[in-house]
Amino acid sequence: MRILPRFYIPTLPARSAKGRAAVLLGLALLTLLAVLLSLRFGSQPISASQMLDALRTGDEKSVAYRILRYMRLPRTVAGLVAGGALALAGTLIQAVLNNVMASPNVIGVNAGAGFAAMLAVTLAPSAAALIPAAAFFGALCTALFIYLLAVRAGLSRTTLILAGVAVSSILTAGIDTLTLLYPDDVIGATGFMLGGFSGVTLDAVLSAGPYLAAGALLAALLAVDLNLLQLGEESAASLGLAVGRVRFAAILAAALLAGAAVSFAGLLGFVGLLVPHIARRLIGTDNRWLMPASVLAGGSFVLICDLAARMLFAPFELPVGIVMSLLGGPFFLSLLLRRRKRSGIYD
Amino acid sequence: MIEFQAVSGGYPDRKVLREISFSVAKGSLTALIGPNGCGKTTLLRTAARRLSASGGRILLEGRPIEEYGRKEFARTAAFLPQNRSVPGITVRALVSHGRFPYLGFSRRLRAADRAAVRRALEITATGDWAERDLRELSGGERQRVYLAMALAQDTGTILLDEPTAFLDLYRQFELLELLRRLCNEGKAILIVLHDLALALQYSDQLVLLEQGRMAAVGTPEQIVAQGALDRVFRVQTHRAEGGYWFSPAQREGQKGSLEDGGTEKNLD
Repeated sequence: MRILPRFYIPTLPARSAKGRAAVLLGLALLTLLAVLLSLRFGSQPISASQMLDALRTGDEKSVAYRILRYMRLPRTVAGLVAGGALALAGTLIQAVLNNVMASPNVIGVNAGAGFAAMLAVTLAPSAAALIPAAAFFGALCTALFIYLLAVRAGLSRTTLILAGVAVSSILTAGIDTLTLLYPDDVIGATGFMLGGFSGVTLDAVLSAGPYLAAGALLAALLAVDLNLLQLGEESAASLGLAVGRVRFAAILAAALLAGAAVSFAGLLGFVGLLVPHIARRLIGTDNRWLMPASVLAGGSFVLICDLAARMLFAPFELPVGIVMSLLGGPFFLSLLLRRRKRSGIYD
Repeated sequence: MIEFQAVSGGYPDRKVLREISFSVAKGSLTALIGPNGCGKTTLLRTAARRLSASGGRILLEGRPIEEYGRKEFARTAAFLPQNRSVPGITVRALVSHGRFPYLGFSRRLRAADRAAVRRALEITATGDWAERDLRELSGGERQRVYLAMALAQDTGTILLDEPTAFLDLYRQFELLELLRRLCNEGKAILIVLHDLALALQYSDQLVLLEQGRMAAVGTPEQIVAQGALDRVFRVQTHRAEGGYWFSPAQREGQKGSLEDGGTEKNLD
């Protein structure tokens, strides 16, 4: 019995280099479209001519310019970057744990980043630059903890996810405690918990920039090595892959990316889970293609969700996290229901 | 070639192998046989550096295996473990992974790598499937593709853990014929085999393990003549035209004994 609709995603990924390039190009165009839409539309209607005027004159006093420059531009950049970073982090974590059910959100990496970021805010309210560092550190600790659980305790895939959920809920409880104890320091905590981009500044995104760049670079360097992990640990090692080192580096990259994204976007759920799945369906499991596809798909997905969050009940605005969970939740459920027994993460 | 000198080893909490000594020469096929749990896979994994030996040494091309660099080792000995996942990638992509130990920092395949992949596909007759998804193939086809990956590694020594498992009989023969051809081209092959008849028929040397010790080593004829199979496996070996077959040993107390060469008259 099918209770949920199938998602209309092609089941056969593109196999030829040409096909993959076409998919990547399509995703790039989609991303471009999402960026333009995100700049063009919002709760405040601005006509196209007003926009062009504002851009041409750069008049600080015009409302259109200020909305564009201080509201929509930071928001668009933040959405694009956070979506791409979380999707890439999800791809990395799924590869390292060899588990499709894993994502930065599911195994508590986002919550770890969020908890550490909030701790930093309460301990040193004036040092905003500390937030990305703290978020990265929290993400890394959580990811390493889950990874060591998987390796040392030899947890099965399902148990690992459950352990992640437990860790995640402990950390979320920590965040809630901080919110209650220090309400003045962590204004906007609800928005942070749900994830969203209202009030995000370009500065916040920029201060996360080095972490994002380092994470993305590391991920790119690991693409082929992570492909080998698909063969299973034993085969990968016998081909000369330093399995432990590669896994550690990939976790580091995922923590850099997820921590940086959480530091300005809050606890965005489901991007890191849902997007790698869609990207894998479109382009296959080769990380050299899958990673850029995940980044583009993640960025455009978050931008489109954010646009919906701004427009649906305008002038009221939903945090984008709610919109994404509304979309991501059913997807995750259908994934659980349709999962067939297959080895490896590549269903 | 690979040489075992009084190798002991196993797992931290359980010593499995004791004093194993034999060598696999260039151009020869050695089969590791023995009852379940006798340490065949452990020995193979130790040779592949997946486990470390607690005593003795293993020489690969005359050099202790622990002296090799990670990739250097992978360029000298290929190992096909029994448990492998089946990722959703094309056959060509899988076989190309065999070139990983040769790749530089950029991880790009060079012309020489592509040529090696092509050759491996050719030898194993898997070229026609090069663009097919691994998951669409049957077990026997996959086995050949994995072997192609090991061949793309272009090593002198190949270690295989029960490559015939789950294959139907014809495919088992096909695979072993292929391994024989590789031996003729100069590879040293060490293979764990479950099927005694196949092991006797195709190998140059048999190593019989029993509870982690060497019970016997020698050519198939020598092993049969010693009656070692009969004792370790509790069977009777019968020679038939072109091969061997087996029947269960008679229970103790019954007439007809284990050491009695094994002819028709011993059958009930």
